[in-house]
Amino acid sequence: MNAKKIPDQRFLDAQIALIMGTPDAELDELLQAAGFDAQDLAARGAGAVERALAVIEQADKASAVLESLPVPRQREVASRLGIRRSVLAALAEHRAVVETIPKRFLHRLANEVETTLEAMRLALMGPVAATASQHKSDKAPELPKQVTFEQLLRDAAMTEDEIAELMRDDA
Amino acid sequence: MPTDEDDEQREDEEIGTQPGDDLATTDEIRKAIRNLYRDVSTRKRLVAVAALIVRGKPHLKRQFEPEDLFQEALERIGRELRVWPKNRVDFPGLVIGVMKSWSHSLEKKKSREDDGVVMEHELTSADRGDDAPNLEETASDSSTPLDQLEAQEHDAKRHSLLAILKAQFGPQKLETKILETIMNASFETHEEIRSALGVGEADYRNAWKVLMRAAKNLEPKE
Repeated sequence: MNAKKIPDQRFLDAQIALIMGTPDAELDELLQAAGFDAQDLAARGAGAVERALAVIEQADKASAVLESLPVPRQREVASRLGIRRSVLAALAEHRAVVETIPKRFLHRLANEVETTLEAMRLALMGPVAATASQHKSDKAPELPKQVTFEQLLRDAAMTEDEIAELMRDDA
Repeated sequence: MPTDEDDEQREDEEIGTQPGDDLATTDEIRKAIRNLYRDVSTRKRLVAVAALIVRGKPHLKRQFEPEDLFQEALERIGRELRVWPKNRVDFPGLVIGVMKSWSHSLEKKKSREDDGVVMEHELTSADRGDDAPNLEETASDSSTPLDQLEAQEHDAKRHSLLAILKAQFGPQKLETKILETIMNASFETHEEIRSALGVGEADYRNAWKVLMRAAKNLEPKE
């Protein structure tokens, strides 16, 4: 309940503190007062935990697959997706801002990696992978910056027509 | 020009690391998520918190159920897009922090999308990865008139909601005194507020139930 916050934020924090601090025996009554059905919350929460664990596991697998694709398979996947192999490598290294990748492309990439759209999106998030900064000097490595997907395509010298086709989002 | 939105941003931003932090391992994080299966009480509390957070985000509320926000937070934590300094925050506290931070960023983005405005800085990213930190950083950039207008409108709306809530109770009612204490002063805990007001635990808790019910009834119907 920080003084720097505006009143509604402090009110929210106070409600959160109350919900988190109420003894188990009184919790359902409090939740009911706040307009919740405690059993419904428990059921919704269980579903969310189950789905989150499944997506995390799928994202782990998708990351592992992307990171360990042999070069011939990288060429094959890149060709089917209509991108340069360097773009595929950049995606594996989390160098694209995920929210700028068209859903249609994400779908196609997910299909290639045999995962779901949600897991694919999660797998591509995160800090730029260290492999993107492999170097031989003694100086500390400087990781490449994340850029939009479109910028990634431009940096890979793809043509305007190719970029336009990849940026199409009609999925 | 700093705004109250910036204050929220600073308060709600992801938990960063500090020297000497004891960061949870992947196994510890995954175990904590799995533990929520059998910890029904914590699960209920966290989804209720998610619901309270979503209630205050009009744009997010149109597309997200509370459990979606809860799930997103678990996914980000599970994939270690958010660190868990175990020495400073417990797991439920981490989940709440991520839900607040991510929902704040997304609400801001959706608000602009709904208005048909896409800011260039929303399309660029910081090195840290993940969409959320990037957008969170943009939240502290209040240099555009649109940002300032949004912040002012949001504040005005929320201030008036609390004012309406307060107006529902007489000046001598405990509910009013609690609201005034929250609005005008800084207390870290409920125990501090209760002590300052000099009321018993049962009365204090009952007053809060009334307040939470009234706040729920004030929410605009979809």
